[in-house]
Amino acid sequence: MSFSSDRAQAEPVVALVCVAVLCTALAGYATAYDHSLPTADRDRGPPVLDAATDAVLVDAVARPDHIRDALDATSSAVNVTLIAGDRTWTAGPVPPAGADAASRPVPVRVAPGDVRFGRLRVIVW
Amino acid sequence: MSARGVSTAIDTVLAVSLVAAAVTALFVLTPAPQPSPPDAGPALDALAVTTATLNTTTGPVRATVATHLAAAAPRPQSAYARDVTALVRKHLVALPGRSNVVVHREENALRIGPSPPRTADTTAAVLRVGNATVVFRRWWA
Repeated sequence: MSFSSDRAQAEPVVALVCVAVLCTALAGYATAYDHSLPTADRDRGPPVLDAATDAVLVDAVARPDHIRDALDATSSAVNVTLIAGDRTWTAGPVPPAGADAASRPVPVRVAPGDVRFGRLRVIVW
Repeated sequence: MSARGVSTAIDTVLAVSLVAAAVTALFVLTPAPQPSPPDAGPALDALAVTTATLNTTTGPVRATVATHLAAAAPRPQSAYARDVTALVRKHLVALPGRSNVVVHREENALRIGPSPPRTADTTAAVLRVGNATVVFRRWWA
């Protein structure tokens, strides 16, 4: 039994190249689709910041002498920094690079009757 | 190359074109995620109770920023109001994004900072100080 050349299937090399190109295109589409979906990356900064804020604020004003209380308010490894003008208070170990961070403005009591506009920052890992 | 080989190549080009169109549609039709605007509440809380000494017509007065804002609102063109504006503006520029404070008292209003664009998502917080109303708004530039 013999086949004529006119009835042959597509040429093998062409078919293989086309299948490879098509697979590459579909893989590219799958990658693009994956990137278009919202990521579920969990940021641990905001909840730890809330806990630290509750620990540091006394009558709605941050007290630098309470900054170590923020370390006890969370079970995670955390570094807490309170900034008011050119003054900075820090508690906790040195954070690794790439750790989650969050901050918020807070009023900071630097002396009796002296409240400065400041910022509370936490880095958690 | 035989006629069937050419046909297979054309079919593949067509299929790849459709995949490319699908990828393009994916990026064009999927809206870019917009970050939520910064929270105005904590910023207003921090600003309101911050203390400062400013010169008034009766001499230097030490008070909270909220009290200064309420006192300056009836006379927004006065030197005292300009000092209050400068004080508040200094704190606003330290915040991420853009911020705006408007204080309404009686028929007058003291405005500090740029107005948010009509299309910007904003957060707002309101504080009443006596018969003055402090409105604080934040948005991303």
